[in-house]
Amino acid sequence: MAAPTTAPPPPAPAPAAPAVPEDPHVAYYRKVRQMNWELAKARYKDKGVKARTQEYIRGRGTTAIVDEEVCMGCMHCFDNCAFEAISALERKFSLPDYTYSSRKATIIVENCVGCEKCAIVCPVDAINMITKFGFQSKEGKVVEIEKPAPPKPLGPPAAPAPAAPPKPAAPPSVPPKPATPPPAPTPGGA
Amino acid sequence: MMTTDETEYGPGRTIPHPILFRVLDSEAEDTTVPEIQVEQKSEFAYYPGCVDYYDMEMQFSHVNYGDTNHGIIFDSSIKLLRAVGIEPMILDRSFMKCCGHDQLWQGKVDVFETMRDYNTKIIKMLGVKTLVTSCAEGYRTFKLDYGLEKQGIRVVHITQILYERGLRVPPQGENAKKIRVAYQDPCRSCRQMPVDPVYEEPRELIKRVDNAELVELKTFRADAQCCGVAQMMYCNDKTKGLTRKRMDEADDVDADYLLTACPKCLTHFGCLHHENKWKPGEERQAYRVMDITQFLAERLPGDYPTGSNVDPKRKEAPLPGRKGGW
Repeated sequence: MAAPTTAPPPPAPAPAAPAVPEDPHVAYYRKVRQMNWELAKARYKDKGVKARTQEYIRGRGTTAIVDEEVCMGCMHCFDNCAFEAISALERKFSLPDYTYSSRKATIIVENCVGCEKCAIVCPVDAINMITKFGFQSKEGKVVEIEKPAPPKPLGPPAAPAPAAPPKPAAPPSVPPKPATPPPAPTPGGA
Repeated sequence: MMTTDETEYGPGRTIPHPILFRVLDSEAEDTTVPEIQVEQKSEFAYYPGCVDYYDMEMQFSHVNYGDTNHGIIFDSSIKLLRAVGIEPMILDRSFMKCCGHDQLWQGKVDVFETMRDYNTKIIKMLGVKTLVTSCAEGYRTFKLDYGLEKQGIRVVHITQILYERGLRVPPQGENAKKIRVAYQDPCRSCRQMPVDPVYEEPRELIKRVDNAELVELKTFRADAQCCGVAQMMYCNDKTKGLTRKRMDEADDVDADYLLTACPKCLTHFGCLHHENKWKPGEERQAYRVMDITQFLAERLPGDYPTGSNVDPKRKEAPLPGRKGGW
C-alpha cells in the first residue's frame, strides 16, 4: 500500500569515524538500530508479500449473494463493506390489499472481492457466498475453471492459401477436414 | 465467529488485511531458531516492537508523505534507558518475531501461539530478567498473554522503569516556553490491564519537566476514550469520528502537545493530524502529537545514541497526495 518511493537508499550510518574511541554500547545500539531499519525496508520491498496479498484479496473467486426474502434491510453489511460493494434498494411488493416497499441490500458484483465480511456481520444470515463466474468449488477449495484448450488450426491452411486466394471453392483435395463444416449449412435450409 | 477451519470457500472466514499483517503473519511461518549473536548481554532487554514496520506501511509517516515518526520511539527509549543507567540488550526483530497482539485480537489464535512459543523460547534462552517495552500493546501481551511473569521474567512498560529509577529531567532554562501537555491513556496498558495498570507513571514523568504543565483531557484515566481503532483492523468514518472527537478534546484544553504511550495511538492521531494539517484555513489541532518517550528524550541533553532513522537528505515533507499506485 504505502510504497516508499521517496526514501533513497540507506542513510549511510557511518557519518564520522571520530578519533575518540566510540562507546561500545553506542556502537552496538547504532548497529542494531540500522539493522532493524533496513530489515523493515527489505521486508516491504519483498514483492512476494505484496503479490500474495493481492492474490489473497482479489483472487478468492467468490462473491456475496443476498437472499431477499430473509434480508431485513438493517444495512449492517453496507456499513461494514470496505469495497463499496453493497447498495440499498427499495423493493416494491404488491399485495391484494395494498402495496409497500422494503429496503434490501444488493451486491455490486464488480466491486465485491469475496472477503465474506458482510456474511459475517449479517444478523439474519441473509448473505451467502457463491463462486464467481469462471470459478468452481472443487475439493473444498475455490479454483478457476480450466479453460478448454484452444482449438487446433484445422488442417494445413498454409499450403493452399498463397496458391489460389481468389478461388475459394477450388481445393477439393483436402482430406483431413472433419465433416462438421459441410453438413451444417445443408440442413439449415430445410 | 472466526474459524480457521478449511471451508468450502477457502481458508476460514477471514477479512483482508493491510500488507502489514501479511508481513507480520509471514514471520510465523518459519520457526527455526537462528544462530543468535548478541554482542552485549544484559539482564535488561528492550523490545522495540514493530515501529519500523509502521513507518513503512503508513502513508503519513516520515518515509512516505507525512511527518509522523514511529521509529524515533526506538531511539528515544534507548536514550532514556541510558539516562537512568541501564544498558539494555536489544531484542532485535531479526531474531524475534512480532509479539502477536494483533493476531490474537483478530482471532488468529494459532498464529499467536506460534509466535508466543518462539518468542518465549528466545527470551528464556538469552537469560532476560526484565523485559522493557515501549509499546502499550506489547506490555499487555508480554505480561498477560505470554504469562512471562509466572516464569520469573518481569515485564515493565518503559515509563514504569523510568519512574522507578528516578529519571531526572534537567531544567529547561529561563527562556523555555511554557507548554501545556495532554496525555492519552492507551487502552491496552490502562483500562484493559487488570493488574498493574500504567496510570501514574507517565503523569509523574511529565510533571518532572519543569516548563510543562500537565492538563487532563475531558475523559481521562479509567474513563478515557479510545483513540478510535484497535489493532488497525478497520478504519472508516465512524472510527475516524472517534479519533476526531478525542483530538478535539485536546483542542478544548488548549494543549501544545498530545502525548500517548502507544505507537498505535500515535498512528491514528498522526493520520488525522496529517489530513487536517493540509486543509487551508483549518486552525484546529494546532499541536504536536508524539510519543511520551520522544517528548522526554527531547528534553534531555545529548544526541540519540542510536543515530536516527530520519533521512538526512530530506528537508521537508513532500506535498500531500497519493503518488502512484491506487
